[in-house]
Amino acid sequence: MGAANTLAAPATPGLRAAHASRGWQAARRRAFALGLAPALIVLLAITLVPAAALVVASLTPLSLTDPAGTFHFRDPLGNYRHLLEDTRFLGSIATQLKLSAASVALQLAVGLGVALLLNRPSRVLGAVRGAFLIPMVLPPIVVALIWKILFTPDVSPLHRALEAAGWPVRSLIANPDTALWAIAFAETWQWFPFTMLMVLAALQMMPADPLEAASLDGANRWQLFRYIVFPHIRPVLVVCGLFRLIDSFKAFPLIFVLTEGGPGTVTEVTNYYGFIQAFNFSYWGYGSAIATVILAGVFGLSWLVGRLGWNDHGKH
Amino acid sequence: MASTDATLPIPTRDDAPAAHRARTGRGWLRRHGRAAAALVLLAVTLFPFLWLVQLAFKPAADLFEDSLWFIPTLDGFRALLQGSFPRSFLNSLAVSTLSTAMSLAIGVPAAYALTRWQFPRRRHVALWILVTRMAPPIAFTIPFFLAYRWLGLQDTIFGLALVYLTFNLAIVIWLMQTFFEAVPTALEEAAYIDGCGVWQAFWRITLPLAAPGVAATAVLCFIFAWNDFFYALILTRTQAVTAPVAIVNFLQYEGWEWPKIAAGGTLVMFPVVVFTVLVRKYLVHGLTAGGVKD
Amino acid sequence: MAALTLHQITKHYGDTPVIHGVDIAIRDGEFVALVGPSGCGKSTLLRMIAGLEPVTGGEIRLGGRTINNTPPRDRNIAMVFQNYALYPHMTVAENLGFALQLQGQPKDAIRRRVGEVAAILGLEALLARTPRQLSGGQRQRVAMGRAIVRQPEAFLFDEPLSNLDAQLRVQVRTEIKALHQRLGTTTVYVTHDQVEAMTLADRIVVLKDGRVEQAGAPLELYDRPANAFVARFIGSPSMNFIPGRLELDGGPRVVTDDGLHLPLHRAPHARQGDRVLYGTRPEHFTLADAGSGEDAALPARVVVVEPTGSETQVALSVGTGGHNVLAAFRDRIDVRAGEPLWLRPQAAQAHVFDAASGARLN
Repeated sequence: MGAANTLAAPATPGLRAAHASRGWQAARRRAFALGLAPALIVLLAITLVPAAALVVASLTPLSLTDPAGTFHFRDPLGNYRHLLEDTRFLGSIATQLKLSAASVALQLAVGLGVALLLNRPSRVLGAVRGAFLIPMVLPPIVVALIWKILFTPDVSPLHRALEAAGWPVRSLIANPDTALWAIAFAETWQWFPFTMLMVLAALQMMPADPLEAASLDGANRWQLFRYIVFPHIRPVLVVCGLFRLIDSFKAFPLIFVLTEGGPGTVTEVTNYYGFIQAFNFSYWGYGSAIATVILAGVFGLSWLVGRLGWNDHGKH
Repeated sequence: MASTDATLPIPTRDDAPAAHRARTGRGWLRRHGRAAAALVLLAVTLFPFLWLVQLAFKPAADLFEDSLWFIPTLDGFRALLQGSFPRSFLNSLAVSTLSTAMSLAIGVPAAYALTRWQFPRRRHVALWILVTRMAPPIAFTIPFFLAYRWLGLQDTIFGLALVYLTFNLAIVIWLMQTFFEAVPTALEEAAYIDGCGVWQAFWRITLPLAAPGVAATAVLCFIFAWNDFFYALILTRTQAVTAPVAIVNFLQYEGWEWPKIAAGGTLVMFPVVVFTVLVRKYLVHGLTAGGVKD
Repeated sequence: MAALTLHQITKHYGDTPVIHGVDIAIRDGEFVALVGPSGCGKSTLLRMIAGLEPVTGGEIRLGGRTINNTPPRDRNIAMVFQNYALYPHMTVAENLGFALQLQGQPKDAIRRRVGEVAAILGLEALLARTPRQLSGGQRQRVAMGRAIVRQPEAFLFDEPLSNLDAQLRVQVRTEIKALHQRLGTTTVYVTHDQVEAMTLADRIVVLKDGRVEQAGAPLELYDRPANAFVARFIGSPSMNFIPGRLELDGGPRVVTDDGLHLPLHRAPHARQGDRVLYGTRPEHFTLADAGSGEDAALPARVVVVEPTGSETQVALSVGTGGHNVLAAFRDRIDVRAGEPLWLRPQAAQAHVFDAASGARLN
């Protein structure tokens, strides 16, 4: 190996005693722990600690009027007892459930329909599929803005078109009977592309053989859908629905901009009620209790989602 | 699940030649009916969005008319420049960038460790991360609001970026795991033998190969931070107020200046739409807990 | 260059043992092949030598130092991976020079060394390319170059030729042998292909289920396999086994259940009547006339004739007991399927193994 002595001699480590922990493996574990630690610490600090603080606050009548004086635990479950008697709170839960049910159902239906329509290889359809994403990716506040405009009779082309056609309609969001539907409609517009994407992906992965076989057997399109396509995508629809359901509990900008919970409390969902209690009235303790209830509900649903195996990283 | 281009046609009986010949008159409709319906549906769906954009360019005088024939003006945008909107736009930029940077800095090494290190509680950590993503903002806002009052972080860019970690960190860890899994461990082993330590191999081999993933994740973080409304509403006042909140202020205090409001909305959505086009492949994966793989 | 010793190596995955007390002593500059079927532990052993897997028990010594707990980068070992493991985002030159760069060598020293190695392997024209732009054989050479560059004390090869097509495999195999003759570095070579092991190695270690079945020079394993497993594994086409009973009266021979007499030169270390396996390599059959009595040749019927050009391989059914035998003849034989033949196994080349344990008896 003559001319190769242009290098410095590589390090000779010397004799390494066989320590109890296998040196390299232990070093590797330490290195990984070091990389993971900051994230875990931060997550702990900004999720578990505030969550704990939230629960703690919910056990007090903490409010702005006298922060020091109202921070006591003399009646820890007072807020929760009050919640059970609070008709406005109970009403907000009913409203939330109504809104979520209607909105998620519509999202699933519309998303499914559009996905089925667009499920063909075609340049035009490919571009269209991309364009349909727009409602979903807009900042929620912009979505709220758009629908504020469309629901304000003065400036809304829809209202004026209806008027011109001889069906004048008053403001949908000022009408207690239609306000919740108006919000459900806007939310469906915003989020149906999510279902569309998921269903399209599932349709793409569907094997062609059963379809061809059934088609040869004489099944028409409806039968094909009902007996072959639908069972295949049902799991996706379920998970999609659960995801959207969990997300729907967070709904805020639409309600804030369109109706502010009104008229009256017709569109006041639990999230919004908590917001009012905590930040309009500054009843932080009571607001915390409301938030804790929502959090518990979300936990339960998330656990359900996790159980359904959607968490595919856990399988590795 | 790569792109959304479906490659699986659902066979229809209409493709049978005999039937086709019998219906030549409606042949065009059969062939293009689907595309036509899709385009019509798209037009209807995008109409609200397009209405907002065109409203931004409408002269105030034409406001109450519906005619699409108007001479576009930039008055709405010009009106935006006065007042606090430009500042709020810059605040949005600053907060989103800071949040993205912080999330990446903390989350990327963690994602790598989770990918390569088979430690017993992995599933639990992954689930915890998923749950953080799902939690409603109000659950965090109240404690943060109270804490920030005490810490003096209220109405600051850093304070807001810190709160955004609650969802962005989880996104980074979730997404980057997939990208790191795609890098073969044999490459890292070769690097170990060549002379690298664990993080050296990560920096010189794994990370460069996962760079497109980092870019996509960064864009998604930016979008999620940019789009936030609730946290910004509660935790900012005047200094760190972000664009979405500023627009709502217009609505509440200047509810009749529709072109200005529409212009604000158009500007706020512009970066997001642009970035979304760039990362649409990863969008679903970012919004859910699985699915799209590169 | 250094001697590499594996002393009583054991390995457990959780509670499952996969390596049971392996001892291998490799001399300085020796080329040792680890062969065996899938799952025998050869790759695991290699990875333990490299430091990529922890050692549960036993000691690995390189050049006198125990390296069990040394990180891979400090072991002064280089490895060529099965899938090359070239860094896709670096050029060939950068791939080759990576280790030196990590050591902090000055740039011109690196460039010089990379040039030397590229010259040895014929890679000069490819230095600016990325792995994606290379063919399989070129990638393999870059992988080898990456190992050579560091002048390690030992080379480790993990089935480097299995991803190459047949012709390329032969070519690169020759290059590897030439390289070893030139550099003289201690080499451990893992393969499941015994032809590679036979042609490349100074010594072969045959492994099965985490244990060493036999270790020795290739021809030693070929001529005197220690048990039936090694006998079957080494040599292609493999050795033929005919089961029977050992008869010592009137000359040692093995008698099959259907009355065939298989000749032996000397009595093996076994008792009269023991059940044994009679092993004959395909090339140790001669065609004969029928003969008679105990000197009789074996009656056989041709099943398939496979002329490979350099020899004729004939699959035969011997006797009436359904013994399937593959014979290989140097000369061109004119036979067809279904025809009868008479075979005589060469007694001097016969192998006798215990039918139960497989251990060699002669």
